[in-house]
Amino acid sequence: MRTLSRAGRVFGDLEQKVMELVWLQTSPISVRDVMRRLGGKLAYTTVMTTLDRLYKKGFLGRQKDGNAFVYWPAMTRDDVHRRIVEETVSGLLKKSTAPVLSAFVDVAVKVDEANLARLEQILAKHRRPK
Amino acid sequence: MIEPRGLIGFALTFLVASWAFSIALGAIVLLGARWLRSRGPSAERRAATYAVALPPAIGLAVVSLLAGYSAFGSWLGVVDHCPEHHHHLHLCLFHGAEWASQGWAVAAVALFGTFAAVRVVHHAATLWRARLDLRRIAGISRCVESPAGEVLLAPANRPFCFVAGLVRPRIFVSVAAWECLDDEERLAMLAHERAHADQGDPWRRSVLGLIAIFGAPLVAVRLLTLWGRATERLCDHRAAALLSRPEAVARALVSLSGARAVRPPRAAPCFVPGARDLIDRVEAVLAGHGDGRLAARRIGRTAVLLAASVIAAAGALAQPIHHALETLLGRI
Repeated sequence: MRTLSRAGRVFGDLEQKVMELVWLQTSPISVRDVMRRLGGKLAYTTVMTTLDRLYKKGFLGRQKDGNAFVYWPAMTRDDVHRRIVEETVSGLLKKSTAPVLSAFVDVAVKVDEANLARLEQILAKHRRPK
Repeated sequence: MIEPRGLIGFALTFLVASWAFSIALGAIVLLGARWLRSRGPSAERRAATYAVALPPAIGLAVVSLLAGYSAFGSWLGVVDHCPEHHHHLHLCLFHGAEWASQGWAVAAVALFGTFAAVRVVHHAATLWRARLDLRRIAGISRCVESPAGEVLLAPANRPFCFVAGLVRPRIFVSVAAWECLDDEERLAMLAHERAHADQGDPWRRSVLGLIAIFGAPLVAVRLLTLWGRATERLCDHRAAALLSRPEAVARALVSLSGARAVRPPRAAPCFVPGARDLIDRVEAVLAGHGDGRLAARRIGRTAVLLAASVIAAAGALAQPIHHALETLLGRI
């Protein structure tokens, strides 16, 4: 199973463990369950804060179950990968980092339908036998 | 004993020389952009490279020659006139203490020094952040073999394709971009990126960006833009030549742009930045003109000759230049 790269520091160590655990569950999981499955060495508040942080980042969903929250993954592992790549690439392709890479099609360029039609016309003209 | 305060004068001379040559060369290249364009992207790119890189090099050479004249002039039989000329500042390594009392000079050097230091640190930080970001993307991308070599296929719904990495440039393609192109278009896109990697464009652009800090600000930015556009057209040309199918490159450009097309509200006037560049690229690659390699060589030779002449003239005329500058300083 592929895990998220530590090099990129997408999740902290504990966040990573919690996400892996939540992804393995088939039903929502409580803070106490997460704490127990992580070995029971971590404080309840530490696990609760981590889950809360992941919820606020949009990686987990939650709802009240009695007095406590239960959590479930709001995204699949693939969705998380996709989101990370898209967010990272957006940052990379900003003008300030432009010297770092050369993109095939400049992402700063927004091509509207009129220009796209013009491009198609140019291509069609070229295809036409002379 | 060298007087460190005298270096203020040399720093100012470097700045003025570098900016003056930057404006002059920049004006030649930017005013001649249409002619360069007609020669081909290699010629345009070479001209822009020299217009960015030569001015600071010439400025540094001129200042080194003037500093050398100051340090070793006595060995050549030049009489030290500094002690008798109290009415003006001296471009001298030994009698430059007066520079410290010139507020305007100190402020100008401090301002530019700070600006340059901030830009250099920002550049380094950008490279470092990008390195981490690229590692992050590489960590969750799938490595696939292609005719253009190793490609990192990144899971993303947004179509993109770029080459990045200063030491070992790698091609990153999103799954969306991969899937929206047919085999031939995909090959064209990868050949374009491979051309960037083979030319070492990521590090070239990075070094040019660093050198451009010492050129005249607005001119350097416009030259870098010209360099970027010419480089894209050059890589389009190389990809078309490699596949012998210019149309495949054009189709890849159009398909990828189409997948990213924006649909502005009908009532709102829409400014479409840079769309003209894309149309230019498609037209240029379909036109199938040469890449301008020969013209680029001629431009390179001319630029090197020009720089060597300026430096040789500064060396031969170090004494009159030195006095002319000091006379000018005396009038300020």
